[in-house]
Amino acid sequence: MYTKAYIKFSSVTHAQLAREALLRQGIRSVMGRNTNPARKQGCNYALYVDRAVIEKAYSVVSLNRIKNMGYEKGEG
Amino acid sequence: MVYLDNAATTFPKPECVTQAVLRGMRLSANPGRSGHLMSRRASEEVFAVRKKAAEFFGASPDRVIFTQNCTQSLNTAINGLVRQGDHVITSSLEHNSVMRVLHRLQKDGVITYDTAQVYEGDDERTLASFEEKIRKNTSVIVCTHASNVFGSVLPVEKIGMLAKGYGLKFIVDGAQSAGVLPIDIKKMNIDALCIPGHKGLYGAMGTGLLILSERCSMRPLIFGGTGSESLNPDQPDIYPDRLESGTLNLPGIMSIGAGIDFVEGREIKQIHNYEAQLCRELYSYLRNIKGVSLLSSADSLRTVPLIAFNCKGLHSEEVAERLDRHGICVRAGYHCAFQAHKYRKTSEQGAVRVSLGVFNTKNDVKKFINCINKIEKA
Repeated sequence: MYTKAYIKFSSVTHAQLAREALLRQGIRSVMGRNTNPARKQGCNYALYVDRAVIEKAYSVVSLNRIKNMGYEKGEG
Repeated sequence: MVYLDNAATTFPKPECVTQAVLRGMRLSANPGRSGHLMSRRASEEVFAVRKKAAEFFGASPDRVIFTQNCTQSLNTAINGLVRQGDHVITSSLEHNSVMRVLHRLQKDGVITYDTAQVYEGDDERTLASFEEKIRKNTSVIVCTHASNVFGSVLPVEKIGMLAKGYGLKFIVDGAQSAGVLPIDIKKMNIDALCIPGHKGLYGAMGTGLLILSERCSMRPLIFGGTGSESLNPDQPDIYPDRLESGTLNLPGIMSIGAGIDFVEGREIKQIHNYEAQLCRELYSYLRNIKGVSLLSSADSLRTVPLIAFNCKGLHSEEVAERLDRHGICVRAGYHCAFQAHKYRKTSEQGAVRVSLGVFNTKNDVKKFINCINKIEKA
């Protein structure tokens, strides 16, 4: 099974801020709804990135102190 | 028609603002809610204006809150920051959107407040007046940047320093100054800047902004859906979501973005210089009319471009009504500002307020003066 790598955000604004922070570091991402939200988390947004850079992307987001709900590495 | 009521709302709106509203109406999916293309596009439009406003006022995009008007911004900030037993300081030139909130909170036994006297033209004395009101339980200073009645500009940068020095939160009512005077919330130590979108920013009516510093967090005034943390019965604690419940006014928000572009395109300093020049001209004409008493100063460094005056023996509403008959739009009466009129002892007659915008011309000033001359001679 193939799943995508993504960082989760509860707020669309924070996902947008993160997308810009990633772009400044040369990391492209695509924003969308998280299609696989955890049961208790409710609606959230995802920034989908290349699986090879997910950890780097997550650290960029964290370094920029952008509130997020963690990340999923993806499989496959 | 000569429109001289720009302090109420600017008119006309730039064409780019009208076009932005139309684009927003046509786009019209709900931003920050669904995941489909139309909703995502709407979210991008909102985010673009957030960034623009953040840059314009020296804030972070997530600290830009869209509201319905400056009054809602002020209600949110004041109610959200004060706690039971707090003391608040305000100025003698406030609008009812500050005074009625404070008055209600005091009546309900939540806070007490004191009024610092503004000494127009003497910043140090004004500052001392604020400082001497500070008590042990003072938590907030809330004041206008510029009086909506007389145009007087308060030394907000110095008041911000004072607030910071005492560890107080600083709320500024920028109704008459946003888009007219430069505002940088970091430089001015402002915690909550409350502004309309439809005055100096030339956006559509029914729009406002609340711009917060990084260190400022508050209780919401309105609770509800934010498109985030939907399974949580508590309001989210992240910004802007915490203070933005309910569907946003997409066409209005897009109009603010276009309005900021308009102001930046013309340059805020150039706009102010132009309006100040018209204001000085108006002032010098009015000063020479017998029977006119001026209530504003012509010092463009200390005022926003509006002039308040009265005609001897006539109520301000009567003057405005006569001007209206000549196709001239001004505002008279008490301008929703009992405190300011009480301070200037104009509670009986009110004041006629002439407020200029970037689309006014020398010809407008001349037409207005001709009418005032006629009214005075009648």
